[in-house]
Amino acid sequence: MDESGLISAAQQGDLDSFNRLVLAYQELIYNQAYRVMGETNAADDATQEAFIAAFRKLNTYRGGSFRAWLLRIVTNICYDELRRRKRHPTTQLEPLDDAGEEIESPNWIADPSETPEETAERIELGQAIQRCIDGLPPEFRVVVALVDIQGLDYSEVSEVIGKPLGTVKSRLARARTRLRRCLQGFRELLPSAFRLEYEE
Amino acid sequence: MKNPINSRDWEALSGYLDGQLSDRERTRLETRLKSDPELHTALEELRQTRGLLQNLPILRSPRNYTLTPEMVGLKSDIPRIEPVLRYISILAMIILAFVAIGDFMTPGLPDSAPTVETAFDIYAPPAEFEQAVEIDEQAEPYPAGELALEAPAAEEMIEEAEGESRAPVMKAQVSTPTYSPTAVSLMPYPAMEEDLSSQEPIPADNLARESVIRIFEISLAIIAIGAGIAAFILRRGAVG
Repeated sequence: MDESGLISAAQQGDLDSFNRLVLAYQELIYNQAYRVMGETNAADDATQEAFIAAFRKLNTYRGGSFRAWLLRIVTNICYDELRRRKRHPTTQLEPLDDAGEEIESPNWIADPSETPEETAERIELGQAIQRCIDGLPPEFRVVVALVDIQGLDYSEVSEVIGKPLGTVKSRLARARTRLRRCLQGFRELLPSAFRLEYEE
Repeated sequence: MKNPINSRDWEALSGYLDGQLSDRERTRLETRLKSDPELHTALEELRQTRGLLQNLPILRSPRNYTLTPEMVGLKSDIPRIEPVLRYISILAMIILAFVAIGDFMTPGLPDSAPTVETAFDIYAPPAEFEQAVEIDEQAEPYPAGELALEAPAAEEMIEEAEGESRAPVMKAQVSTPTYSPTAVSLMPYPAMEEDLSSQEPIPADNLARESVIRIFEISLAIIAIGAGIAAFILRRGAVG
């Protein structure tokens, strides 16, 4: 059965059809949640919550890109969670990285006993990029993750965030500019081709 | 003097990388890029930043996020009668097991006990008996050696027949055409009558009780199997 057939069946309450859609999209949704939330546990929760919400709201889906519709749901769930955290901030005593190991200090970038180069050496490139993404405002994170990591085009991103194309272009440009500046602090980690350019 | 790179320039550079500029915007930017090395460096840095992001690994989802009916507040499609049928099947199995065990443990009618039908057969004079005697009288007598060998066997058979229920043994002996004349002569017909008259008659109540138990056991087995199959079919139909 094709995607539209599965969606129609799921709209009739067929959970098995919906679960086939879940299996097709769970990686995309999890990755988007992870890039926006910056934590695996939070991404896990947001992904599950997004699929539950999607099934319940399935009758509001009126065609178009189902992928964009799902991404919009998970994006809104991430926004809600980030807002909730802002209202009720919690400080993790021993935050965990992606591998489940303790991060020595959440304020790693401002550690006075360590030069930025030493800090940069300690953190893998992927983590460094994620740290830079985490430093962006949520609206910028969402757009840069959708375009540069998930590979969506501007119009689809516009559909996901519910904003005009001009907003997508503007947010993406600002996000890239900030990331460029942030990544300059990790030039030791960058591949040689990137490093030479940054050192010029 | 060149203007510093502002936010509009960054937006133009970002859009240029993604091919999102109009022809006019692109031509104007390309002209500036040729004459402005700082803008060109900014474009390359932005390109590299984008390249780093695009090369980030796609994470595998740590688990499947498929939903269950409980998660979305759906009631199960399986009909309500399905668990009832399952319980009926299990209950019938348990009762059947108890009844069967009880039936086995209780000393009832022995397996070898004659039924009404076989008892009637025994009391009626068997036609084969007279026929067999006639055949044996016409036959040549056995050599002495063979008779000597046969005799202990016949005696053993008589002992067995006396120790157990005699009726089937006697009937079998009588109706066998190749039967030894010695054995036949040891079991004359009047003796059979006398012997059978000493056996206790089978009470009709016992027979009725046994029939009821058998019917009950068969019914339980049918209920257990039938309910189990029905529950299985309902579940399969709901899941599939």
